[in-house]
Formats: sequence, C-alpha cells, structure tokens
Amino acid sequence: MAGEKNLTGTILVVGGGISGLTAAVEAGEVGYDVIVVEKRPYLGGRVAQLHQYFPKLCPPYCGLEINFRRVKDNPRIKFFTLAKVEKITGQAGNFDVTIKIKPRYVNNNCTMCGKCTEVCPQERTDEFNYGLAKTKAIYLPHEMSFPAKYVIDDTTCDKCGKCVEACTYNAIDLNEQPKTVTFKVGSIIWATGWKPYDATRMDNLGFGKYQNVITNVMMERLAAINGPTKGKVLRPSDNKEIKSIAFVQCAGSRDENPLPYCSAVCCLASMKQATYIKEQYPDAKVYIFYIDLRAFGRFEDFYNRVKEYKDVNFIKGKVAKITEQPETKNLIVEAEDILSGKKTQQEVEMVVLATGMMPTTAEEKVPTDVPYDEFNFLLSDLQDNGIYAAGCAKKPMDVASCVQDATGAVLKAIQSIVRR
Amino acid sequence: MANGRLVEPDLKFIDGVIELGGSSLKKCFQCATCSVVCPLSSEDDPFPRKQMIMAQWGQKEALIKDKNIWLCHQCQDCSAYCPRGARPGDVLGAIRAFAIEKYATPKWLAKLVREPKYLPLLFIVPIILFLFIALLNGTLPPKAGEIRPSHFIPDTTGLDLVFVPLSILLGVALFKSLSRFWKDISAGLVEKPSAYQMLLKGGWWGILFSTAKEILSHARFRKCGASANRTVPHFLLLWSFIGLFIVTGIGFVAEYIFHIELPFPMTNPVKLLANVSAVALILGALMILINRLQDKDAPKTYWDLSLIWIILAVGVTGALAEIFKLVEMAFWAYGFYLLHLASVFVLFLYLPYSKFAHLAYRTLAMVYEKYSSKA
Repeated sequence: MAGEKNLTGTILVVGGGISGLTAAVEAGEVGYDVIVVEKRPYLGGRVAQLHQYFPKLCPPYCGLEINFRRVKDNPRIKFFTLAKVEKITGQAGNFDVTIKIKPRYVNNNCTMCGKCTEVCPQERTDEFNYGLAKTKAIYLPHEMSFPAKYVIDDTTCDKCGKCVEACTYNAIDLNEQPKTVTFKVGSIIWATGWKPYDATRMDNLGFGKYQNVITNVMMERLAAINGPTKGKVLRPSDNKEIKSIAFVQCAGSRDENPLPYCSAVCCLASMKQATYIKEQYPDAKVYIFYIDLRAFGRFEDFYNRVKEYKDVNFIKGKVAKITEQPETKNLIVEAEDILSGKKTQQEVEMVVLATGMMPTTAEEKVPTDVPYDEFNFLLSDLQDNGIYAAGCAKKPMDVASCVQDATGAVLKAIQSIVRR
Repeated sequence: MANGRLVEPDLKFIDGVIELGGSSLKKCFQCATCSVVCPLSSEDDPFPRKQMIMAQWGQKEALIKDKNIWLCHQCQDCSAYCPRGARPGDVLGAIRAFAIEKYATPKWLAKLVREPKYLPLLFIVPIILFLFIALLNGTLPPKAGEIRPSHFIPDTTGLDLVFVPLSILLGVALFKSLSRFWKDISAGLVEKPSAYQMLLKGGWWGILFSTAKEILSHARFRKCGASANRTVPHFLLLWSFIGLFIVTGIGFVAEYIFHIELPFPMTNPVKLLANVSAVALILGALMILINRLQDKDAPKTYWDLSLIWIILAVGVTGALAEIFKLVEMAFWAYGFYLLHLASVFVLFLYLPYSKFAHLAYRTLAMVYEKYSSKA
C-alpha cells in the first residue's frame, strides 16, 4: 500500500518497552515496516523488571513473551538494541534518521552457556536490579533477556580477553566497533518511557543514607523470582525476613520540587506490593502513608481487596521525616495522621518510597524540534509533525493504558504516512 | 445536615490573610508535611496543617484563639519542605496579624499603627507635643553651653509627663486585650490540670519561670532550621530591649530616689550597658532587615516591615543624638534627640497594636501551653 508512493512506509519506533513493542507489532501486523531502536541490551523495558501487574497480579513476562514472539515472527519488524537515535532530519512522511549502535561484543553464536561470566574478573552494578546486585562485565541482562545473548559493558570491561578464551562458540569479539546506520522513515513513534525519580534528592526521607529505605522499583526486584533474593522479600541491611513495612506515597510526586504532577500508578503499585508482603508474610504489618489514595476507575475494586487484608493500614498523612535506629537499623517514619489530627511515629523494619515517574525525555531529548510540556513530557498531539509520543513519554500511566496509547499512536503514524 | 455544623466562611478574613502575606494560602492540599517538619509543633496537637485548612475555610474565630498560631516562630521549615509552595509560615504570620487586630483596644489606635497613610501623623504628633512642652518649659531653644537632654526636654515636666501616662494607658489597653485573649484560648480547655499536675509543673510560678527561661535563651528559636539566621538578631534585639529597660529603670530610681542628675557619665557602668544595648539593637534590627529583604519569597508588607524600621529608627536617632552631643554640635544633637523621642513614642504605640505585640501574645500562649499540657 505504501509502496505505490515514492515516500517510505516505514515507521520508526524509539523505545523497546511495552509501549514501543506494542506499537511495533501493531504497525508490523497491519503491513508497515517497523524499525525499533532500544538503548538497553534487551527489549521489554521497565515492564521486564516488574514482579506482577496490578490488578490481576499476573507476571508481566507472559505478555512480553507473546510480544517477543510476534516481533520474531514478523519479517517487517527490525530492531536494534544498544542503539540510540542520533539525528532526525526531513519532515513528516520523509524523515532521514541516523541511529548509532553501540557494540555488544557478543554475536549470535552465543548459547548463553555462561562460561564467560565465570572467568570474567570485573564487576559492575546491576542496573536491571536497581543496584541491589552486581554482575560481571560480561553478563546476561536477566534470565529471560530478549535477544537471548550475553553483552559486555565496555565501561567496566578492561578487555583482558579471558572470556574470549573461555567461549567455545567463538561468540565474543572484543574488537567490535560502534556502527552508525541511516534509514528513511515515514513517521516516528517516540516511546522512551520513564525513569524513577532520584530518591536521594529528598533529604528528609533517608534514601541512600539508610540501607532499609528502598524505592518501589527496587521492591519489584526483591519480589521477583529472578531478582537478587530469588523472590523472597528480605531487607537489605541484614537479609532478614520482615515483620513490618511502611510505604511512603508521593515520594517526589505532587511536589513542586521536582515532580508537581501525580505519577498515577504509585498508589496502586504500593497496594500491589502490599500483597507481595502479605503473601510472603501473612502476619506482617503494612502501613501505607498517603496524601490521597488514587485508585482510579475500576481499580477501586483492587483497593477494596487490599483493604480486606488484616494489618494493612492506610494512614492519611504524608511522611515527612524518616530516621534510623542505629542498633536495629529499624526506621521511624513520622507523619501527621490527619484523621486523628495527631502526629504518629511508626517503627518499621523496612520502608518503600513510592517514587514517581520522570519522563526519560527530561534528560534525553528527541533530536529534533518537538514540543514538550512544562514537565518535559512530549506534547506531540498538539502538532501533527509526523512524530507521535506513546506511553509514559506522554504522561505517567499504567501498563494497560500504555498498550492502548501505543495502539492509538500507531494509527496516527499510519495516517501521517497514508495521507501524503 | 440535621446533625452537622454549618461552616460559615469569613471571606473577608481569607482575603485579608492573602493580603497580609499569606498569598499562597490556597495552594495547600493538606498533605501534612508541614506538621512533621515543624521543629516546634507538638505530638498531640501538631500545626500548621490544621491552621491551613481552617484559614482556607475562613474560620477566623477559631483561628485567632488558637494557641498554636503563637507557638509558631516562623522558622519556615514548613515553607521549605512544602510540596506546593503554600508557605504555611507566612500564612500563620498573617493570621497572627488578624489576632492582634481582633484583640486590640481601642480599635482606632490599632488602625493608626496598621495603615501606612497614618505613619507621618504618628511621628508629627509627638514632635509637636515635645516642641510644645519645651516651649512651656521655656527650653525652646535650649540654652547654650553644655548639651544635656534635660536642657531641651526636662525630665519631670517633659519626658515623664509624656511617657508615664502613655505607658499607663497603653499598659491598661494591652492588659485588656490580653485578658480577653486568655479567656478565649482557655475556653477550649476541657479539663483543668489537677492539683497534682500543677504541683509537677511547679505551680504558676514554675510555669512562668520555665516560660521566661525558654524565651530568654531562645530555646525554641534555636530549633529552627530553614531560617536559623533569624535566631541571633532576634536574640540581640530581645536582650537589647531588656538592657535598655534596665537602664531606664535605674535612671528612674537614680533620679527620683537618689536625686542624681542624668545622664550618667560615659564611664558609668549603667551608661556602658545603655551603649552596648544600643549597639545590639541597631545590629539586630539591621540583620533582621537584611535577612528579610534578601529572602525573595518572604512577603514584604507594611505590617511585616514597619516594626523593624521603627526599631531601627529608635536605635539610629538615639545613637546620632549621643554622637552629636559628644562632638558638641548642639543643633544636631537636640534635633536627633527630638526625633529619637518621637520614634520611642511611636514604638510605644506599636507595642500593643503591631507585630510587636507578639512578645505578649506568644508569651501568654506559651504559658497556656505549659498550663494545659498533660505532662
């Protein structure tokens, strides 16, 4: 259909998370060529790091795997990992894009036997586990990584060559060089998603200072079966099972410094994580401190379900101070319980900060002129310039909304090509 | 609504709070961060979150009799951590302004102090008064020769003639205001402390003593985080006033009981105390003024700034009068002395009706807090 014009029918999708993947398979399956550009060494984005979705509490990986299958089976979909869009020129219907691809140093011969990792002498922080673990400089991002290949982090690798010797499949090439490729595309879907707000910047909440104060994304990794604790929620200071935990809502969100907006999912995420705790520790005491509980639409039902648990307490009042007891490493969270009008000091063994969503575009801009809102989310809907935002690049949203939003963005991208 | 209480918002009050420096009032969304980060708020009755919603709802009557608005020392830790920029510290400051107005008596005097248009009048009246007094005493112009304040405004038939009645009148007015205030704040007391509890508190004297100790040492002020730079200048000001009060008292006694002619010579320890206090006064006032003007977010209303300017005027005119006396420039010495007396006159008027009144209301609120607490 697009072939009958001299313009290209290719859609560029930037970001290989749930929004980008959805956009890619939707566009590919209706007959458009798709190029996916992902900066990480694997597809799946932040969803791959989750333990469960709310409200069904099912593992995100089954959905991701179906999408990977669809990507693999569709010859129209091409993807690059470790890649970034460097330059965009031209206009809607006829863009020239330049993509820079970092070397992976591991080729398709890799069978994931793991011999390389055994011999590798260098260690790096495991960002897939939000710093809760370490990996070797040559590593598999996670058990279910797609593409299923090891990768070398060249910021820590000193090219000693031990892995090359250990690899019996000739899968490692330490001399691989960065590549730059260019494509002509008709429209662009920008789905670079979000990153958690840096919790160390809230000096009164003690993250980075007290070991047992973690963030909600870290909690996902602690609960995940392929996480650093194999799915057992243990507190970081002493790997002890926990009897009490506090969730601190709006840690960074709804705060003029830095994220004045509501991040939309954190209330539900904390309620979901409360179920992780109650599943593992039925007697544990859970305290959720909130300003307003935002369980929008049908999620009200999920809230009602979580409320049913014994010892899951909802306390209206923002936590504004956290202190550590040096001997026990327990934490005292302080808030004003608005319903009683008195201050409350709750001692807990662990604290989870429900940190908010910051658009990735706050730090990594689209390399061409596009409008942003005051918080650096993309505003592409206002201007039909052939570049469309999808998912959390547009505003904070949950996974299901991202999927719907990406599908909508695909339609816009196709319209942009067809009407020219 | 059969069993409900109808909330009647006082819209004028809301506008007034906004005008008096609480312009950020409506940004508050009741997260209660402020109550937790406040270094002064109590466990059982934390502030200022409740005061913020009461102000938004125009609950003037409830707020002006709330002890907590006075326990606030405007540290601004709340404003620093407020996620909405609602600046609870400034809102409470504006509510205090309302409370002072509400309890002020007579109201027309309070109005003279509050409104900038009356400021020239406030100065002109005492200047004319003192010139008239000098005329009646036959000391206008003062006789040549040694420069002495009493050669211009005699002590008994000049200074005392004005300031003794003025102090008595204002003292009575302030006492009336404070007794109404005390009645109102203590009206909410459910249960009076038992005799045993009072014993633990050391009785009324114990309460007064511990309050005085806290004020004199600035124990609460020193807990402030965000505006810690206010503690030292405020401390200087308080002690300079105490110093000057002592000096005035000694002067009074010296004159009427021992018949010593004033002022004391420069080498006299009392004069030394007076001069040290004067320096502390000017320094403290200047520091506060500079802090205030440098803080971009602080409201800069007449209510907020006029007091500190008047204090500065008292200090500077007094110091200049003394300096010109020492260098024997009679015209300037007497001229600044006249301005000094006028500034002191205005400062006296400021005591019950301006921000200055906080020293009485806050002290009383602290006494009430100690009296009513369960401990």
